[in-house]
Amino acid sequence: MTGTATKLGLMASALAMTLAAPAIAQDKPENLTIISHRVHQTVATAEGNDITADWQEENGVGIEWVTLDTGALHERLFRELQLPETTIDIAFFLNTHAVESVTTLLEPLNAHQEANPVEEIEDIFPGLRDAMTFNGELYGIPFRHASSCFHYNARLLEEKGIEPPETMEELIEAARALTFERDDGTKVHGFLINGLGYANTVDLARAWNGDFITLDYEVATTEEGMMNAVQLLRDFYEEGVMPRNWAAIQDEEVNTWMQTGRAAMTTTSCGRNRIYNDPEKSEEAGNIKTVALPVAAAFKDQFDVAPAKVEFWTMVIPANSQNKDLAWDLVRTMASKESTLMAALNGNGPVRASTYDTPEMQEQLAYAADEKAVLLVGRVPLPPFDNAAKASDIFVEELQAAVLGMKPVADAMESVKTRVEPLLPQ
Amino acid sequence: MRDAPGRRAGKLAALALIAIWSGLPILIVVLSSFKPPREILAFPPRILFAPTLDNYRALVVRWPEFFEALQSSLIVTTGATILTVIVTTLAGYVYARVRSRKLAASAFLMIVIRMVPPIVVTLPLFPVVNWLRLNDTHTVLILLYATFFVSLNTWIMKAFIDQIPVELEEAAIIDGAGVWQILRHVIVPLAAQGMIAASTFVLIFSWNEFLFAFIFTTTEAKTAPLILSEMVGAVDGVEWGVLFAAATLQLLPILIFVIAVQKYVIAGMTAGSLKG
Amino acid sequence: MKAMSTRLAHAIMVAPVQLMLVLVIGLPSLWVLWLSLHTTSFGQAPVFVGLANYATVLADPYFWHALVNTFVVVNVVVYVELIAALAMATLFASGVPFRRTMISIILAPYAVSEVVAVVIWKYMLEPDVGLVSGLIALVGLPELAWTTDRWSALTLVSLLSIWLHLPFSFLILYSALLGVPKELYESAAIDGANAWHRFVKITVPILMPAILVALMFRYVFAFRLFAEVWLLTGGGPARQTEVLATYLYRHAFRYQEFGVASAIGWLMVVGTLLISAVYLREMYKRMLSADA
Repeated sequence: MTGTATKLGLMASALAMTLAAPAIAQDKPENLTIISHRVHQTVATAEGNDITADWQEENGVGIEWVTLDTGALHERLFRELQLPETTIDIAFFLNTHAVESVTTLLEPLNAHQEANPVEEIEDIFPGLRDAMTFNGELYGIPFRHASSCFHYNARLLEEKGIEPPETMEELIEAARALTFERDDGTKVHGFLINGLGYANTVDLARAWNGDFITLDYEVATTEEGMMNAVQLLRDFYEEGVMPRNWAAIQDEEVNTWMQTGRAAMTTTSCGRNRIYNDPEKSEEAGNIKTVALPVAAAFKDQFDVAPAKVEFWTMVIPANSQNKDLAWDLVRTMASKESTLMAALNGNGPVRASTYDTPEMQEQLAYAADEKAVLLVGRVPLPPFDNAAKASDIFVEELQAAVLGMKPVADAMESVKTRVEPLLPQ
Repeated sequence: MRDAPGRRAGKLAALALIAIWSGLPILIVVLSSFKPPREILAFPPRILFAPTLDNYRALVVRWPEFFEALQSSLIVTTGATILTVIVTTLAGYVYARVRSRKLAASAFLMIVIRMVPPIVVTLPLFPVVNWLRLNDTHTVLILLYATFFVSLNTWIMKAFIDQIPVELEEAAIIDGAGVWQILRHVIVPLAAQGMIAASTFVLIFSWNEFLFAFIFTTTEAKTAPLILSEMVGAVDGVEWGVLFAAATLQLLPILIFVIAVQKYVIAGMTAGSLKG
Repeated sequence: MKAMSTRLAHAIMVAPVQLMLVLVIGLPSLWVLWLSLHTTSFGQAPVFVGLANYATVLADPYFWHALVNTFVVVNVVVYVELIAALAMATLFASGVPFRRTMISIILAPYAVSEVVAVVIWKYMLEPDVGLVSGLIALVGLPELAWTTDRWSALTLVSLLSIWLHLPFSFLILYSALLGVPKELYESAAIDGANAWHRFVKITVPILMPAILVALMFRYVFAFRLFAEVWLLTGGGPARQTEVLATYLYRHAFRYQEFGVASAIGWLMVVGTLLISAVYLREMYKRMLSADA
């Protein structure tokens, strides 16, 4: 294989000489490359509120963002981590992938923290730090939590004379009442969530304190909470509360439906509030209100609000990257108190308790208190394990089959249990 | 030959159907890119509207990387096309003029290898490309795109060169010309139309390719279709207007090219006629 | 001496094409064959498992599902395209007004990238607001439920694929048809053959080589169908519309099961060769054994 590869190399480098500009070796790179979901770039670099701007100027180093979907991002990252050398300097990493086996591929951060510490690291929620700590060594610095809220179009509710729902039961009723045809013939759908993921369905299950997989790795799809949630989605679909093409509606498309007033209510990350009310992009700017997801009446005595999903993202440095010290310096800058607040004002879920107490946050973000309430009771939608991608694919497949009526809800959820159980860690 | 009126009407109807099928979807994209964002999702679609450049302005402001990607696409496409034309003209000439068992076998092997679906080779190529430090370079895309088209293009060039009378070469040989002179002075000028025809396929493929670009590029060599797919998945909602503006910019140059060379493509392929 | 250097020159001229094919496609494919006999993931040393990966794939109902979907779509796409292209080519060869303009319009979708094509069709089929879905509703037809129903979704995938690739088939057949000598038709007309007769007895046989080229290349291209499905349905709903290439992608890049993915890859290679075996043989005879 080596001989062949060398030949290919000779051929290719001959080509490269004619086609590519020669690379100039230098100590300080021209750019650092960050691989992330686009939302991270948006909240970090919003116009006039760019948390990386000063750092770039001081260091004379630019930042190149590579943004991909959550799935594609981790697929890409894992491929890059396996190489002898990667051009990725910083990666954003979702909690679901935080398993111990991955730590061999990541730069341990204790020594960096010792030499050039992140400002008041204790202020960052301990639960988030612990999730990326293995055998006492820290491997990622939390940057974002995405906690789910309930978003509703206040204009439409008012039009129909509906009070904002306080329990899940009221929410269901409202969703039905908000499904109607406008004068111009376009339809308004009372409720909509992403049809291609598991996280927001878990949110609904949490209204009854349900789960897909519990924190101690039990499949809970056949229990009350998840059964209620999936049956509800099935009913909504059948009644036309959710649109016919639900199974093809991605997370991002839900935003468009909310922005155009074609969907009246949804459950997704609290920070989306900013996008829904952006006058440049939304026809419903100013109309979308964001609050904590209501809990079912029977659980009112246990919870004030539903323990909705809290996902979080950490910044990691690949063990095979080239500019680790510089990358760390950028990471610590992005994790500072000031940066955390700026990003939060851009719509990020802040990872510092102190950020919620700042006057700016309370003044500018109407949903800050609700988000904090969710954060206090919420938990991750799926605990980390090696086969998480496979398990979530199975869940989505069976969920779609149940909601579209290809098989009974109970059968589908039973099937998830049988198929996912062998994939779980023992 | 004049058609009877009934026949003519039938033909016009068929043509209208064909035009709607092929042209309308593209027209919608181009027109919508000039619509104010709010009118894009209106049904029935408004045919009369005040055209605006807002979507293009938004594209420039929000997606500057799209224009870098267009440049990347241009480099990769040009490189792959030139490489393909050169190597396939050489090979096509040999296959047209020389008959031997070995060559026949190699030509057949060429077709068989070409059968391998691209997604299959991405698996082992990813580590190799990285080991060669070719990840995220234009070079790797040029090499991949060209390779996946050398079979088809060699074929077209062979069929085309078959049509050039051997006598012309024999005359040149009597004048003392070697293989390379024959190629330069006899074949290339006469095969030029075929070269344009053949290059069209690799050119369009390289300009639009998604899978390889998705797997082998990160930032530097990212091509335009990748940015388009990112726009579709943009987190703050799909902005149809900006997306259509970008699609229009990605589409128009290649569309104009296809229209400009269609005469050569058809004439070239007719002459070559692919009858072997 | 002269013959030697000429032969050498010929070898040098053929070499780049052959080298590219062998190095970029041939050897990696063999590597995939080797991988398919091992179990491996990123960062793990490969372990030889014999044909276990193939057994896993062949025992997976989703593989058969993907195979059936691929088989149906490929055949629908290839033959609908062929018939449409043949009809259009015949129409154009019989003389039409606005010929140049019309050909430009026909070729236009060929210039469109898969990504853009998916965007266009998705937009046109958007419920409530899309042009096509609106028209379908106006005419009173049932909606194309491509997001909920397997066959509707595959119909859309096929439509999209035909839309994108019809120009290619048309181009090959039309240019071949232009090469048909006029005298053939004229003598047939004197013999009193009608249009259909002329088509079947003269046009089709003469076009046969071109039809074979078009068929084979379209088979090869259609069989690897990926972007249309991946970007349109992602294989959903409920994995109902998965095709072989998306099934492979899922195992390779989502689950990082390279051994299994490689086995799928080789099954695809073998499948392509089987499908095109007849055509390949025909090609081989016509192009290489004949002393043209």
